[in-house]
Amino acid sequence: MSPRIDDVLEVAINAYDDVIRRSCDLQRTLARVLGFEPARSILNTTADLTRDVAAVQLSGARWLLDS
Amino acid sequence: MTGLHWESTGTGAPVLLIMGLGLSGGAWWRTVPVLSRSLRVITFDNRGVGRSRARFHSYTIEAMADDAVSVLDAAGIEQAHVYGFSLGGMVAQQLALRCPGRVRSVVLGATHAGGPRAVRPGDDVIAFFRRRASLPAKQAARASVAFNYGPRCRREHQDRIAEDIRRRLAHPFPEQAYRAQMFAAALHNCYRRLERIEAPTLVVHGRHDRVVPVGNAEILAERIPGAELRILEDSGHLYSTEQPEVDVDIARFFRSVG
Repeated sequence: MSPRIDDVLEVAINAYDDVIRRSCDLQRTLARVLGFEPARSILNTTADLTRDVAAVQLSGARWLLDS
Repeated sequence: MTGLHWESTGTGAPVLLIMGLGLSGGAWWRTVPVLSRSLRVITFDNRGVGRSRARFHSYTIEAMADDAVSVLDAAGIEQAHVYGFSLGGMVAQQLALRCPGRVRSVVLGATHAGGPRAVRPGDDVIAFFRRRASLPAKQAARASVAFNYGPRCRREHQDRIAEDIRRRLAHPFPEQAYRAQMFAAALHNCYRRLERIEAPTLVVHGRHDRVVPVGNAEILAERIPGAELRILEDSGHLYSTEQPEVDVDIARFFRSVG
């Protein structure tokens, strides 16, 4: 993989990582603001799932990039 | 619901200790008395281990880093020194990358950056850790000695090894949590992002570590800006058992950062 493509892919992966983090933060903030069940639990659970599914995707993408 | 058990010992600048595969926060029993002479030491049981519970039996290092942040929040700590050992070192890397403002400094003990550039252990080590969860606790603890400790400790400090095993068997870990932590460790990959770690960092590793080969410490120290590297020449993976004086140096490192 040429260094330029490598750099572009890394930027894209990091950007996706940031988007996921902000999405999780937003869901957790909403959960706190709403503060009633089941909305709070559902939002916290979806935030956790978003983080963990993205972690698997990001790990795979970074693995390919490092190979 | 994920519920985390944590404990606080001592007073002073806060230090969060993050333990490795399958072990509870109580496994820091050699380190806590040393660090807590001058620091406030926070230990906790990782999700699914000891007295902590997990909502799902599928973990990621990112989730475990969020757990560490939750412990800091619960303890009322805005920023802490962080010391992660083995799997806990992977969590510490994630924590330093995801929440740089919460991390004053980092000690990465016997850990690796993950990804394809990580130096892999031998096939016999991998095979053992894969089947370890299905072994009876006592048999697994005894069989792991050859992998966890360096030759000198196995020769000269059988008493220390016996004490480690006795304490470990007092808090056996569930197979599901062990497998979930193995899964999380397999996904771990911070290699390319290590250069973004801003916190002062000390990398500590045993020369004879068979679980996480010492080449991984060299990678971490090379890629983290300004990182110090301390190789313990007489130690294997569980270096705090083999060379307990290292905890004094680690406390000194934290104090030097302030």
